Amino acid sequence: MTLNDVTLREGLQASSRRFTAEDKLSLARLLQEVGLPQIQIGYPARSPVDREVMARIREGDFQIYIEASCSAVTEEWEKEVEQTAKSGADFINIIFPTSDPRLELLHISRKEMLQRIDEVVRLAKGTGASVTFSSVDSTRTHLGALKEILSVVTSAGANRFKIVDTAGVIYPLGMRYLVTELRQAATIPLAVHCHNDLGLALANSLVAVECGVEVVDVCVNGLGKRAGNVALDEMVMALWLLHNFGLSVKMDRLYDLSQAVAELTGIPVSESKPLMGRNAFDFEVDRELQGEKAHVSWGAVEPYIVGHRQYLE
Amino acid sequence: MEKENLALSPYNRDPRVLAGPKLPKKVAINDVTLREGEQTAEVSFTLEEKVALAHRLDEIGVAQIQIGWPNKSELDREVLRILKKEGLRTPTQGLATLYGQEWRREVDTSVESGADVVNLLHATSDIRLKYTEKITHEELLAKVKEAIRYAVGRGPLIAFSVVDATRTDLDFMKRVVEEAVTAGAERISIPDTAGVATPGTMRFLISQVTHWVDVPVQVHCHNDFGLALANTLAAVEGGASIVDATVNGLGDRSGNAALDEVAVALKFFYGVETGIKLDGLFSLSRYVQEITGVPLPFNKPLVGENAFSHKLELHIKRVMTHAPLFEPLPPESVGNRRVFPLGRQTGPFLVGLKLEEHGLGADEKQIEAIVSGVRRLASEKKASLTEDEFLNIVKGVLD
Repeated sequence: MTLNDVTLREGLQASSRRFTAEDKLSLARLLQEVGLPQIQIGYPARSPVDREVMARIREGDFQIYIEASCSAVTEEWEKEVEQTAKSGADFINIIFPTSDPRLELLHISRKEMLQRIDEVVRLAKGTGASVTFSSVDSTRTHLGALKEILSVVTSAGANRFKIVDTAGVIYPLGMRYLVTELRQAATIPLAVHCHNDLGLALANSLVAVECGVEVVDVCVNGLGKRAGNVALDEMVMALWLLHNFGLSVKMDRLYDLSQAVAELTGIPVSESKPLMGRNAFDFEVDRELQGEKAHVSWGAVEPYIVGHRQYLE
Repeated sequence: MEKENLALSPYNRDPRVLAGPKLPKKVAINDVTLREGEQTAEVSFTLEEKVALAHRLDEIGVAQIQIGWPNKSELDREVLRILKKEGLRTPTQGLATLYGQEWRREVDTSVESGADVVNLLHATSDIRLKYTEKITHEELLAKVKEAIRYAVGRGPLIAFSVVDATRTDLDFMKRVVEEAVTAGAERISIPDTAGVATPGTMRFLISQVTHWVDVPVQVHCHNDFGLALANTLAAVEGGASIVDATVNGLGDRSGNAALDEVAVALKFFYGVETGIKLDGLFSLSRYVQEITGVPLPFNKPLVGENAFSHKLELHIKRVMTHAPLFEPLPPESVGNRRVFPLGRQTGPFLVGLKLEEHGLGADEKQIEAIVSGVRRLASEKKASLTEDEFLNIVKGVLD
C-alpha cells in the first residue's frame, strides 16, 4: 500500500496564511525527502500558483508522483480536465459527489451523474495521465450505487477508486463493511480519504487498509477542513509498530516535517499530539520505580524513532 | 435531539455491520480528569478546582468520578471529604497501588477515604515485573489475593486494575483476573497503560476477560498512537461496560480518550447511552481548558474551535441551507457553534451574512470593497480577522 500526502491542498487550506509557489515547492521537496511516494497538489485548472508549482516540479528533479484534483461538476469540466492534464499531473483526481442528498443539491440525476463521470474519466484517461476517481460523500452513498459507479469508472479507464468520508461520519465497523464489499467488487486499487470530525479518521483508515485499500490520503499534523484529516505520522507509526507494515517514509524525519509544516502554516503542533507533541514522551514516572529500561517498561516508542528533537537534546 | 438533523453514514447501523458485537444498552463513563488530567505535563489542580470540577462532572452526567490517590495526596483526601459532606450524587473513585511493602497502608487510607469505589493497581506484564516491580508471577498472584481480601468488606466497592494489561501474557492475565475476582474484586479494569494496543487487541482482550469472569469490565485507553478513542470503542464492542475518559483528552503523555468524543461516538455510532448531557460538552471543555491552561488542539473534533468552521464561499452557502451535508451533526448538539472565519478566502456572500448579523446594509460596490479590505488584512495578519477588525473595515467603507 502507499500514502498520498494532501498537505499541500487540505493542510494549507486549514491555515489563514497565503502561500507562494516557492512555499509549496519547498514543502514538496521536503515531503519527497522524507520518503512520500505521492503528493496531491491542488487544482491547477483553477489556481495559477498550483500551475506554477506543477511546472517547476516538472522542470526540477522530482521523482515523486503528483496527483492533481479536477472537479467534474461544472459545465467547464472539459476545459478543466485538459488544463489539469496539461499541468503534467501523474494522476488526475476526478472529483464528483455521489450521495443522493449531494446530487439533489446539484440538481443532477443519478443517470446524469453516471453519464458525466463516464465522459470525464474517458477524457482524462485519453490525455495519457492515470486517473483516480473520488466519490465525494461515499460513506453516505448507497452500496449498490457505489458499485455501479465503480463499474462505470473502471470501464472508462480509471486506475484508482477513492472512497471519501467527506463529513467524517463513518466508524470502523461501518468502514470495514463498506471496504470489504467494494474490494470484492473492484478490479482496480481502492484509495481512501478520511475526515476526523468524530475523532476516527486514523482508525477508519487503518481498518480500510486491513480490508484491502491500497492508497491512503494523509496530512502532516492531521490538518485539514474542520477537525482535519489523518495525521501522516500517526498513520506511518501505527502501520509500522502496530501492524508491522513498513513504508518508504523515513520515520526519523517525521518530527522535522511536522515542525516545518507548523511553522509554514502558523498552526502549532498541540502539546499532546501523539508522537510529535511536546508531551508525547513525558512519562510521569514515580522516581523510586524507575529501573533500567524504565522508558520502554513504561511506554513503547523511543523518541529517536520519530526524530523527536526535543527529547534528543 | 432529532435523528433528522443527523446525516451519519448509513453503513454504521446496517444489521450486517452490527451483527458482530453484542453491545450493552448503556455504558458507564468513569471520568478520570482529576487524576490523569493532573498527570498532563504542567497541570495541577487546587483543592477548590478539584471540587468545582467534580461538581461540573456530576452535572454533565458521568457515571463515576475518579478523584485521585487518597494515600499519596492529602489534597485528594480532602477533596473526598468535602464531596462526601456536600452530598455529591455521582460515585467517587480512588486509586491505590499495591507496589512494595507499604501496600497495606495504601489500602487502609484508600478504603477509609470515603471513596465509593477503590481500584487496586498492580502491573502484570513481564517487562514491568522484571525491570520495575521485580517480583515473580507467583508472588504477584499471592499479593493480589491477599490485598483484595484485605480491602473488601470495609466500605468501598473494590476493583482490580491489571496495569499494563496490553503487554501481559494472556494465560497469566487469566490467572490474575480469576484470582482477583475469587478474592472479592467486583470489577476488573483493563488499561492500555503504555498506549500500545490496536482496536483489534482491545476488542479481543476485553472479550476474553468477559469469558473468564462475570463482573463488569472497565477499560482505560491512552492516545500514544492516536487510537485512544478507537480502542475504547473496540473495548465496548468486546464487552466493556465502564470506560475511562478525560475532558479534552487530557492525561499522561498524549492523553486519554476524550469524554466528548467517547460519549458522542457511543451514542451516534453504537446507539449506546452513557447518560452524558451532550449539549453541555462545549462549556465543560472550555472550563477545563481555562483551569488547566492547556489549549485544545487546533483540529479537536466536536468541541474544538474549528470543528464546525467553514471558509470556502461555496461551503458557507451550502451549509446555511443544507448543514447535514457538510457536518456530521449539528454543532449545538455538543454546545458548539458554526463559525465562518473571515480571511483570505472570504467573499461577498460571507460579508453579506456578517453585515446582516450586525444589522448593517451595503450595496454591491461597498461589499466588494469590504471583501478586498478583509482579504488584504488577512494576508498582512496571516490570520483570520476579529469581529472588531471586520467592523473597522466596514466602517471605513460605509462612511
